[in-house]
Parts: sequence; C-alpha cells; structure tokens
Amino acid sequence: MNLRKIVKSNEFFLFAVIALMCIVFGLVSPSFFTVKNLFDVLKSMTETGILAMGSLVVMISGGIDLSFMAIAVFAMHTVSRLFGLYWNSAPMAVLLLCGMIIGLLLGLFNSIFIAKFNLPPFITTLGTSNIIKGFLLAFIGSKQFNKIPAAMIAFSKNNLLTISTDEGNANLHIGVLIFFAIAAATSLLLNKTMLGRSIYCIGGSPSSSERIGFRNLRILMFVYAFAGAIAGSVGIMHASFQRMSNPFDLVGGELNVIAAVVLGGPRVGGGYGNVTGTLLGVLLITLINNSLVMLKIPTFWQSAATGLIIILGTVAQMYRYKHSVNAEKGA
Amino acid sequence: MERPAPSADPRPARGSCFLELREIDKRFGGVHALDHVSFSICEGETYCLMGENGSGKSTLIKVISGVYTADSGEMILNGKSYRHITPTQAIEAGIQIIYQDFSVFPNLTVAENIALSNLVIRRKKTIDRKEINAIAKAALDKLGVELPLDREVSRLSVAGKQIVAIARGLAQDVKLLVMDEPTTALTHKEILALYRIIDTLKAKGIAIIFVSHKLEEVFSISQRIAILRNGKKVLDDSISNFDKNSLTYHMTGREIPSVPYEYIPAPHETTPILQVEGLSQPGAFHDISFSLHTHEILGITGQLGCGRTELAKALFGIGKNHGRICLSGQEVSIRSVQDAHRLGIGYVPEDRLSEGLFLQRSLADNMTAADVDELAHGILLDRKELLDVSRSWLNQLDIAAQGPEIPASNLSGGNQQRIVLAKWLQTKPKLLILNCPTVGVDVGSKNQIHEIVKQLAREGMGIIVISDDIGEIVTLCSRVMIMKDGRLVKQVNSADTTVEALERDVISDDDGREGV
Repeated sequence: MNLRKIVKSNEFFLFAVIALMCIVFGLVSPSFFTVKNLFDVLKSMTETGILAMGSLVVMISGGIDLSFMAIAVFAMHTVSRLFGLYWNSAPMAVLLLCGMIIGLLLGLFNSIFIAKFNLPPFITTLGTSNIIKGFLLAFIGSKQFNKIPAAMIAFSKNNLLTISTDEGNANLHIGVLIFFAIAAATSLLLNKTMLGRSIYCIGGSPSSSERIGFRNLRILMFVYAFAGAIAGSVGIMHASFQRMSNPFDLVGGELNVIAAVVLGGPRVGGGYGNVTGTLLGVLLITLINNSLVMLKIPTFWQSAATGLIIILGTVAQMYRYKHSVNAEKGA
Repeated sequence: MERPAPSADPRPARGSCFLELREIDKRFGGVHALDHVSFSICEGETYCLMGENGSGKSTLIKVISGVYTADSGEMILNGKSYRHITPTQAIEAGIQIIYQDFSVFPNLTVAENIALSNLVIRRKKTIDRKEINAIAKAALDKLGVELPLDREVSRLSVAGKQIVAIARGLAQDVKLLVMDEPTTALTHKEILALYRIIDTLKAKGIAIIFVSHKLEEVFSISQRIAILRNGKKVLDDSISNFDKNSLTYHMTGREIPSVPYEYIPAPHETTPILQVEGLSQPGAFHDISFSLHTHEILGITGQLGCGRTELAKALFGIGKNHGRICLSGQEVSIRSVQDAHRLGIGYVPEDRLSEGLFLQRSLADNMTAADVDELAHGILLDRKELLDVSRSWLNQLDIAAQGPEIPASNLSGGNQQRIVLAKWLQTKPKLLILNCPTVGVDVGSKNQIHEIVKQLAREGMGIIVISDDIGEIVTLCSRVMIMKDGRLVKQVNSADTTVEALERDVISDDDGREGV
C-alpha cells in the first residue's frame, strides 16, 4: 500500500479525527494525557470493542444484528444466577465458556430465520431480541442479582499491570487483553481464512458466492453464531465489571456499538469493513463519551455528540468515496 | 412452410462423453423452461448453444452448474449418474461457468475474484496473498491481458469485469467450460484473444459450451450446435450443415428477412432536426460536429471508451460540455435530463437493467414513468388510463407479457428493451437516441426491434443508434459515424460500405486497451 492510498483511506481519516480530538481534550483537561486516563479509556473500550467485532462480521456479510445486547444480557443473567446459586466457586473460564455457548445457541437461533428462511436480518434480530428479553424476564428473573460467582468478582479486580502515578494507581485491566485477543482473532479470521473471505463474498454478492461453491447457509450460520458467542462473553464480563447482574443493563446500548462499527467503514449492504477501522471507530466513540464526562459536560450532550459524529463520519466517508472514484475516472 | 432440418450426421467416433443430460425437465410455475432436453458433450468438443431469450438456455446452464435442480431427468458426469448435483460437486468435477452477469464480487480485488474459486475447490482453509496473486496472474496471462491485481472489481469497466469472469473460469483445472455470452462487453481485439484461448483449450481436450446471439461468433468457434426453442431442443448437429439464415430460421421458427433501411428525405426539409457543432466534453470527446434529419437513422460506432456513450448522454443533458446544439434550427441548451425531455429527446440507455428499468415495478409503471406529467390530471393519476396506455404499447411493440401489471424483472432481454423503448415513445420524442439497443437480445427480437426503429424513422423521427454490432449498424442506419479516442474520424453512407470495411475502420490502429 502506498502512502497516497493510506492517506485516502477511511482509517487514516478516523485516525486524524481522533488525533485532533486528543489535542483539543489535552489542551482543555490536563489529566487527559496521563497513563491513568489511557488505561481507563482502554478498559471502557473493552465491552463496546468486543461487541463491535461481532457486529463487524455480521455487517460484512451484508446483515445487521440488533439482538446482541439482548443475547449478552441473557447470557449474563442466566450464568450469573445459575452459577451464583448452584456453583458459586466455578472458575472464570467456565463462566465465560458457558456465556459463549448460550450466546452461540441464541445466534444460531437468529441464523435459522436469516440463513434458512431468508428473512431480513433487521426484522429477524429485532424480533428475536424482544423474544430473548421477554424470556429472560419471565423465566430467569427480572430482579437485580448480587450474589454473582466469586470468580467474577475476582476477575473485576484482576489487573495486568498497575502503575502508581500522581493521579493515583493506573490499572490495566485483564479484560483489555481479552479484547485485544478477540480483535486479533477476528482480524485473522477475516483476512487469513477462506471462511473469512467467504463472508466478504456473501456481502459482495450472495448469488456469486453460491456459484463458486461456498455454502451460504453454513457461512451465515457461522456469522450469527460468532456474533452471539461474542455477545455472550461480553455479558459475563459486564456482570463482573459491575459486580452484579442487572437484567435491565446494556439494553439500549446496541446503537453505540453499531455506530462505532459503521464509522469504521462497512457499508450498509455488506462486503466492506475491517478490524482496524472498527477499532478506530470504537476508540472515537469511547473517547467522546469518556472525555465529555471528564470535561463535566452533561450526559445528554454525549448522546447528541455521538449522533453528530456518526452523521459527519458517514458524510465524510461518502464524500471521499465519490471523490476517489472520480479521481480514478479522470486518470 | 416447415423447412426440414438437415439430416443429423453421425458424430465422429470419440472418447467417453464427459457430460450427458438425459430427459432433463424443469418447470417454473406455469412455464415449461426445459422440456425433456437430452444433450451430451465430449472431451475437446465445442458446442454452441443457441436460442431466443427465454428459450431455456440459461436454465439449462444452471442445471449443469447445480444452481437449479431438475424436476426429472438424469445427469451423467464422468460416467457417474446424478439425480441432482450441487454447485460444489459440479465445480469439483471440472465444470466452470462464466455467467452472463459475470458473477463477480464487486467488493474484492481482481486477484481474489479470479483465484477464490480455485481455492474453494482445493478446500483451502487459509489464505496466502502470494498464492492468490500467482493464480490470478497465471489466469490473466492465459488470456494475454493485464489488469491491476489489487484493483477493486467495482472500479473496473464492464469489459474489465467480463475479463475477470473469464479469467476465473480459466484459473482451475477445467474439463467443461460454459460461457454464457462472454463477448457482449469485449472489444474486437479482446474477442480475438478469447477465440485463441478457446482454440488452446480445445486442443487440451476441454469441452466448451458457448452461448451466443452473435451468429458470426458461432461459426468461428464451434463444431457443433444445439438450438433450444421454448424449452425444447430443436436441433443438435454439426455446424457445417448450416449458414446464418438457416440458423436464424431454426432459432425463431420463421424466416427473418434482413432489409437495409432506406432513407427517403422529407420533401422541402432544409434545416436538420439536430445540428451539433464543435461539441466537446473534457476527457470524453472533442470537437464533434454532425447533423441529423427527420426520417434519418444515424449510426455511431467505435470501440468501447471512444466517447460514444458520453456523446449520447451529452445530447440527453448528462455531463458538462460546451459547443452548439441546435434542434430544428433553434440553438438550445441541454443541461439536464429535464431539459432534454422538454425538448423532445428520448434516450434508451446501454444498460437497461441499471439505467433503463425499474425492475421491481410493473410494466405499466415503467412505460409511463417518463410521461407521468402529461398523463396526470392535475395531481391525480388515472390508474385505468395508465394500464390502457400500457396495453396499447404491449400490442404495438409486440411485447410478450402476461399483462401490464407484472414486474419488469419477469421479462426476457428483448422484451425488456421494448419496455424501455415504449417509455420514451410514450413521450412522443422528435429525436430518439438508442445506445446499444440489441445487446443481449436474441435474433428474433433484435429483428423486431429493428423493424420498430425503422418504422419510427419512416414516420418522421430522427434517430441515432449507437452500437458495437457493425452488422446492425449497416442494416439499420442510413449513415454511419466512427468515433475514436473521443473524435469523429469518419462518416459514410451505409449504402457505400460493407460490414467488413467498417470493421476494419473501427479496429484500425487499435493498440492499447481502452475502457478497463
């Protein structure tokens, strides 16, 4: 990739916006450029970032998943309650695994409608999301649950690295490592495996994908199961970070994640998007939310600012795409 | 009178047949798409599959490729019998299809598009960029074409996409290559390169099924020919027993005369209906001057990328240009499609699917779309009136459709093209521009479209036809202009030239690829 191409890329644009924001925030707030803030931002990125990986894969395949938050909450509350009540000493790995299996199964439930019966993903996942939420409140419980397994509490205090600074201890949480590992695995999947390329193929042209011998049904099942499993793991981590499980948490946060993914470059309709862009999108959204808090700006402005950034980001993407096509035509 | 088919000659002794279809039957709702079709092809054999649009060719190809399942019948592939074959099985057995719509992935690079199906067959699980580039490079080398390997396919021209589709078919160990109209978007030079490749493939023992509407092509490449008509196989014979006229007859089931258009100038007409002086568009065409009279059909030809489409669009108000355009002696400024529309100019675009039709909307909606303002009573539309208007066009243009309320996507190419034509005729244009009006249209429909255009000219319309098909230009147009690199290089009356001479003019000095 030559320099011109890099400068024109969506990732570079996001990077430039982020850099600009950092400079502004840094000038306004002296605590912005500190290790503590860096670690805090990274930790805040964890949940959105991991969820974004699932959404990214779904969006590349040409679909959209609106049910991942419902899946995350379902996995969170089910695992927290069952294990909290019956096997409180279960190790974190088992809890995460159970959360992922629940998520995977719920993702497969989505994929039956989407891949097998060709229902539109938007409608399907809107529907399943409500079904899952309803089920959760009816059968698992509608009350906040505090006796979550001990391993979850321990996990929330598990730091990779602690540095003492003037502002107090800066902790790099182990969740950040999980986040990076999942992002790296997603990137490998998308770029280095046939399965990953087949997801781009389906997003580009489902009929052509079938014609060159990909099995669209299986690929789409994988896509939604992957998104589900990822959501399940986030559910477990969320309960651990909060040190309790509240079935009304997370719900409503779907759009923040989808916004982060969209900023990273995928087009509605599928076929485009990559992990780097998504990470930058997540960073941008997290920075806005975190820094506005730091600058003591009321939360309703956060929401407005996020919305504004999404629209501006999309406009910029479209503008630059048109521009580059014209430039090539003129050449 | 039914002309007897020449007696089928016994096929020469040959090796085992690679693919045999026995009594394949397929219905879509009420349509009998394939009516007990049997067909076999052996190693090294080249078959041309012909038939009008809707005769069942595409369905047959999709049965061979495993995309469709036949309702009944048997498929014998390499001596093994199948009731139904999956696309993967077909590909693994060495069947490669080059689809008419290219079936490329617009979001992936040239290299990936070419190499992916190779990797699928080899059940690769991981991706190696170097290997992908090597496979793609090798396939393009076979074609003798260069394309930037890391260019995204959505940014290629139509011809570029077609090349990618062909290269993909060549990127693996292929035993049977099916090409569904592979030359529609290629330039003459690229077509010749493709013929050479087909010869090499034949020599390697690869069986080839070639679908085409271009009669010249059929004779230059295939040994045998099979013709489908209304889902039945009506002919399967050696090509040497036929000539163009007899093939046309078997395809359509009727004799089709080809009479050149005779231009009779309107008495006392002095000002041309259209006069263009020094029209230029940066990067597309330069200093174009010509005139067109009523009753006249003017042909414009030239290689892809010579500026002919841009010129046509400029006359229809698309693109920024400078120069003088006069309609019936009045200088006009055509800055938008609305301007063109108001001035009585109609334009039938090159790509009817993306530029000419609302595929999911009804025929009536399509045919009345350009004239809605005129058809409206105040702000209201009379649904019944629209349907009546549409029915009358279906009749006049002899469009085979169940009625004006079916979606446009249900029609075959030739009928779709007539819907686009009807849309503009409804606006009663004085000047009609047709860009490649018969691409992907079968012989029978093509002839009917030609007759419609000639009749319009006789009634006093001025018509410009842009086409690659020199045969079409010579029979349809009274005068021809050749464009090259954005300039007008030659004008000639078609009565004073021949198809061969014009083809030479078009391809002369053809070095360097254009339009990719």
